[in-house]
This record gives sequence, structure tokens and C-alpha cells, in this order.
Amino acid sequence: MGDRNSERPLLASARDAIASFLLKPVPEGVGWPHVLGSGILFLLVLQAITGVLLAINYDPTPGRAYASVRYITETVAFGHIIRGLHHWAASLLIVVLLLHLGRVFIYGAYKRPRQATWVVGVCLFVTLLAFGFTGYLLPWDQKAYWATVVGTKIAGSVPVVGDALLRLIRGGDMVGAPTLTRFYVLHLVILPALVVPLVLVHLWLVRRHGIAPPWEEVRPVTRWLPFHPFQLVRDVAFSGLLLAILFALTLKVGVPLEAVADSSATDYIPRPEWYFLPLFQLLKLPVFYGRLEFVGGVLLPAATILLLLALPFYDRNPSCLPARRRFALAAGGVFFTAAIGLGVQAWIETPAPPATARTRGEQLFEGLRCQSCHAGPGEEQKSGPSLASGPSEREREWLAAFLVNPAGFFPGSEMPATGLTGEDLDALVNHVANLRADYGTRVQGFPSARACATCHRRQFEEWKTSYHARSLGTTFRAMFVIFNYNTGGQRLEYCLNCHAPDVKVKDNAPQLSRQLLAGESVTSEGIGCAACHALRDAEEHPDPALQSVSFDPGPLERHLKEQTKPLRPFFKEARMCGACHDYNATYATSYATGRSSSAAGPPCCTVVRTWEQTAFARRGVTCQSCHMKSEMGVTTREDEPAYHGFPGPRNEAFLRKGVDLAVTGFRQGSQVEATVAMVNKTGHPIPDG
Amino acid sequence: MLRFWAQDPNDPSGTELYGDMREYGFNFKDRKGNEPVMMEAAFARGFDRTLRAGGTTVERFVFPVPRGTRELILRATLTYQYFVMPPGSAQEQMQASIADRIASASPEQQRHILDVEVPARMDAMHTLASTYPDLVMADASTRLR
Repeated sequence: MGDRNSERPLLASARDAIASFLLKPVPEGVGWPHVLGSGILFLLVLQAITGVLLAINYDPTPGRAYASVRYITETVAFGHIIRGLHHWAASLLIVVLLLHLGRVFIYGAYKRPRQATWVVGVCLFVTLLAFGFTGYLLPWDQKAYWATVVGTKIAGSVPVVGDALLRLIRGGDMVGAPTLTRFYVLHLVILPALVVPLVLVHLWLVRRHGIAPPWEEVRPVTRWLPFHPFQLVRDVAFSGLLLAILFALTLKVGVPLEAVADSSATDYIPRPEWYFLPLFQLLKLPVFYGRLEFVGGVLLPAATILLLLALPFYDRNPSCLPARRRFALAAGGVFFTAAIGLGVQAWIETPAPPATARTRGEQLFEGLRCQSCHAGPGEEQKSGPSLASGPSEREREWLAAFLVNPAGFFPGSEMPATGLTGEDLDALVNHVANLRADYGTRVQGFPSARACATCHRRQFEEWKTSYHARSLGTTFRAMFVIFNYNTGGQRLEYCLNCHAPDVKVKDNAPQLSRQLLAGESVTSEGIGCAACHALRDAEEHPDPALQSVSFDPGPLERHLKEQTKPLRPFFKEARMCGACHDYNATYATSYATGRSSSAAGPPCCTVVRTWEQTAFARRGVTCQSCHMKSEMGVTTREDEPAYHGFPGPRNEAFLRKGVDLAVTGFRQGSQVEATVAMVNKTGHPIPDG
Repeated sequence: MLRFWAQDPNDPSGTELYGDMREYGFNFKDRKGNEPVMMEAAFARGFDRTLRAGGTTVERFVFPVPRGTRELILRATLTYQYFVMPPGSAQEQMQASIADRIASASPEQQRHILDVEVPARMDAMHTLASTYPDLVMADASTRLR
């Protein structure tokens, strides 16, 4: 109750503190160059706000990170603006930081009594670079993945402790789920916990020592002005300018997102974010190859940071005047020019990642957020008319006119005018027209995975990371070449039945075989959705030999066109996987020679027949229970969405869940007897399948 | 592939006092007993030793240690090798088979075998052997005094 009386002094002291802050005198010479610090503060606050908003919908697991970023960008209200502001502000922050650092260096503002302000500022700079590096991985696209692979590899070059350091950063030997979790925690918890006190200390030091006037020996400070309104107006105007730049970049350039991370895409050329390009180029110098990599990757950057930190202590020249600091300014200029030069060289030499095959029409469709109100083919009805039917040729002119002025056709319509003209308008009309035509092609015969992606985006993105999607990749082609010679080029469709099941429906095995043997790009997408979802029940085909695998795409086609329930419980059973993952070598022999197959002969893959004899089968734990679970372990939950990345024997994190290993030993005199016990925790032999 | 080795933790050089390996997997043999052979020539399994589903496989290693070794570290690593190059004997069989074909082929077929098929086979083998690194499935260690 007594608080009422104590509120007044509290309010008064708060008012005094604000007045003191606003009226704090600043030297007369302070002006636009001094707005950079407040610009950084503004961008940090903006990053914190947009970061929290992004975190609400972000899922830091490899299977879902990319899909959640797409979800934020494409579905969440204002999601692409929030992500765009966060993305571009990260870059702009570094630009403003570098300008601020340069301004302080040129003005000699790091000199006594502001040494501590400089040191804290440099620490802040390093922390914000770490922010950039850790945030880079989170979208989990190709650029994020490979830049992190290269970036973390540098840590592994440190002598003696390199391997341990690399494993500590990555959480294992490879960039994977543990790396993503670590970077996420660093980005959201640890680095903010470092930045906030650093910013507060930096601000307190700036307040304590005051803003350094420019070259005070030239223009001695004779007049002091209050911070408000003289400098505050400039600070606010600069922050407004930064915000305008960020909005312009977000709306005009968009937010980049490459294809989902693919650890097997070893031909991908990584290029880090622009502010790491000088370091990236430095490591390309031949002198830093091999054992000296850590000198360029760790030692030189660390030495640069130490030199920056210690600058006020070894540059004891008390003068701030440029004329009396020629050596310091020249050294700084050389360093800055070298860094810029390396960055530019890296930019020129490293090819930009392949542009996504998105047309201008697609970009406009996404940029204008058309999909927020209009359902595409196969999507559920949204608030606006569905685009599943698309415009006919006659309707194209009507649609173009409508997109320019919707209210002219339907007064009161909520549809906003697109503001498009000329080629952009044509591109958008074409894209809407293509939606139906393209979709129609994709669902015919053996439906393409891309048709399924219209509704099942997450599953599609997961599938793209799987070896099912790469079933016609380098390894298969190598085996196919050998098989071709060993069989004299006969019956090559034997391999394709499982590696490119669409040949069964399209009857194009000879064409696909020629493409594969010639090393050309192929007309099949490998083991797509239909390979499992259109597979006929095995009971209808009692002969288990591979050549008997047949498909019935009809229900799947109907599902894609009419959203009927197409799928049979069969695709949840282990024996469906057995159609390709359980067979005898005899089948290959008989198939290659054209003789009828027999179930006898040496077993090749036995995963399903051995699984049937185990407790796993009795408990109902199927292939899908482990190989279609996002966290890569056994699940019996029915409601858990199936993971379509299909981890297997080329995924170390997954392999590690399969076997327990224990070593014991005893010693008798000079004799040792050791026992290694390996527990196979899976429902099939290892190796197999 | 299971690798087991023992080291003296007090030896700064880290020299292995003992090391051994066990291989798990399977391959095929043809009617004549040649192994390994590709699937289309398979008559039966040749080498056949896998970790049983849901089972425990135990390996024993007995070895002497030098006198004065007070402490030992016993380590084991189980790795998964996606592709293992065939042993030298099998590669020789394949070469002999190709040589037989060359001997009975027309000059044009011979040129094709030498200029196209053999390099393609070698490329394919190299791709298989180099595409996938060995992955660690499990590792463990214990200290023995």
C-alpha cells in the first residue's frame, strides 16, 4: 500500500534518467558519421524481434528444418517479410559494423580514455560474426550445409586438438542433426546471452566517456549540444533508412533458399556469406594447403582479432590527427584493401550456385503471395477461387485484365491489384495456365513425385534427401555398367524394376538403359512416391521374384486428381519393402538368362524373411518403424508422421543406433583375454538388404 | 568390419601392442567355387558371416603383453563398409575371363573390349570404392590394469 508513495520518486528518477540520456551533451562536431552505433543497436533489436518470430515456427531437425523455413516463407502471415528482414539485417549489420569500426579507427576514437570501449566493441564484432556463422546453417539448404561443412572443417585443421574440436563443433564426424542442434542453441541461447551484456557494457562506456569528437586537435570542442534533438533526430533518420533498405531488399530481391541440404552432392561448390569470402579466398592460396591450413584458417584470423583488440595498447601515439597517424592509417588501409581484394576475387572465382529452375511467373506467384488465398491443383479450397482449373486460351486475356484491376470486374473484391504490366503480367498469366497443364502431365501414368509435392511438400523435401531419390545416381550407374558387360547388355531392366520402377508402366527400359550407360541425364526420377504408393499388394502376386512386381497407379492418379483416399494399408507393411529389399540372387541369374525364376538359390537381401522370424515382427515393429521415423529410432506411435528421408546404411547417425558394442578383458600375467560383444538391435542381419 | 586393438596409455608414441580385425558380410560363389562373383553368376553364398538379427555376437582376442606394461586400453570399432574391392584372386579371375573373351573375339570386338569395356569397368570399380567412406557403427574402449 505504501508503494503509492514510493512510485513518485521511482517515476521521478526514471524521468530524470531519460532526461539525462536525452540531454547528455555531445560535442558540436558530432554528426552523421556517428549514427552508425545507434544503427547497429537498431538492427540488433530488429534481429532479436524477427528472430523470436522465426523461432516460433522453426523446427531445428534436419528432416524438418528446411520444410519449416519454407513454411515460414510461404505460409505464415508476413513470414517472408519477417524472414527477409532477419536475413538482410544480418548482412546489413555487418556492413554497418564494419563502417562503425572503420569510423572509430579513422577518427582515432579507440585511444585513451576509450580503450575499453574499443575492446568491448571488437568482442561484439566477433560475437556477431559467430551469430552469422551459426545462423547460416539453420535454413538447412545446400548453401547452408556446405558452407558449414567447409567452415567447420577449418577447426579440424588445428594441430593435435583438431579432430576433437571438429567433433565438438559438429557433434560427430559429419555435419548432421547434432550440428544443427548445437548451432541452434548457440544462435538462440548462448550468443544472445553474450551479446546483451556486451552491448550494455559498450553503451555504458560510451555514456561514461562521451562520444569522441572528430579530430579534436583540429577543432577543439568549444560548444556542446544536447543529444536530443540534434543527434537523436539523425539516429532515428538513419534507423529509418536502414529499415527502408531492408524492406526494399526483402520485397524486391526476396529471400534466398536453395535446394534442401544434400550430403551426397559432393559436386556442389560452397560459397560462404559475403563477409566470410576474404577468409574463404585466403584458404585457397596454395601456401595454406595441407598441414598449413590451420595457419590461414585459424592462426591468421585469430592474430587479426588479437591485433584489433590490442590496438589501443600498442598504438600509443596520443594524436588522433590523420596527418600524425600516417603509418597506422596506411596499415589499416592496406589490410582493408587486401580483405576487399580477396573478397572480390572469391566472388569472381567461385561460381554462384545454380539458379533454381523457377520461372519468372513462379517468382511473381510466390512474391505476390497468390497461394495465400488461392488453392493450386490438389490443394484444399482456400478463401479465394481455386486455380486448379487454370485459364483456357480464351480466358488468358480476361485474366490479364483482371489481374490489373480486380475491382473493375468485381466491385468490393478482396483481390488486390497486382500492379504488373508487360512481360511480368504475361509471365504470371502463363504460370497460372501452366499450373493445370503441368499438373495434368505429372499425374498421368506413373505420377511424378512433384505432383505429390503440391500437397505433401514436407514428404517431398524429405524424399529428395533420400537414397530413393538418388537410386539412379553415381553408384548405381557404376554397378549398372558392370552388370551390362557381365550380362552382355541383356535384360538390363532387371535392375531398373527397383531402381526406376516407372519403367514398368512407361515401358521405356531400353531408352533409360541407354541414357544410363552413356552417362546422360535420365528421364526417370528414380524411386518416387508411386514406387511405394502405387505398388500392387504382394498377395495378388504370389511369385515374389522381382520381375513380378507390378503397379496399379490408378488409385494414386485418382487421389491426385480428386483427393480421394487412395492408399492401402499395404504400404505400412514390411512386405511392401520386401518387394525390392528381399530377394535371391537366383532371380538375377534367371532374369539375366531369360529362364524362369525360382525361389531357391543363394539369398541376396534377406531383411524381410529374417525379420519375420524375430520378436520385432511379433511386436509389430516393421521396417517403417525405424526407417521412416524422423528421429531415426523405433516408434510404435500411429499418429507420428512418417519420415520420407529413409535413413539407411549410409547414414552414420542412423547406423550408430543399430549396434551396441562392449569391450571387456582380464589379464593373467603377461596374457590378456579380451572380449568384444556386439548386440545387433535391429530386426535384420547386419549387413544385409 | 570389427577392428580391435590394445595400447599402453603410458606409452607416448601410442604404439599398438596388439591389433586384429574381423570381417562380417557375405559374397557369392559360382558353381566352380570361385568367389566372389557377381549376382548373375551366383550359385551359392561364399563367405557368409553377418551379425544375427536381434542377437549378440562375441569375439575373443587373446594376446601377450610385454612385461612391465602396467595398464592397457582395449579399443574396438565396428565400421560399415558399403563396398569392398574384391580380393586380388577374384580380380585375376575377372581379368582371365576378359582375356579369354579377347582371344576369341573379332578384331573389332577386341578393340571395343580394350578401349571401351575395360576402362568403363575400371571407372565403375573406382567409383564404387571411392564414393562412400567407411562409417562408424559403434565404438567402445575399456581400461585394464
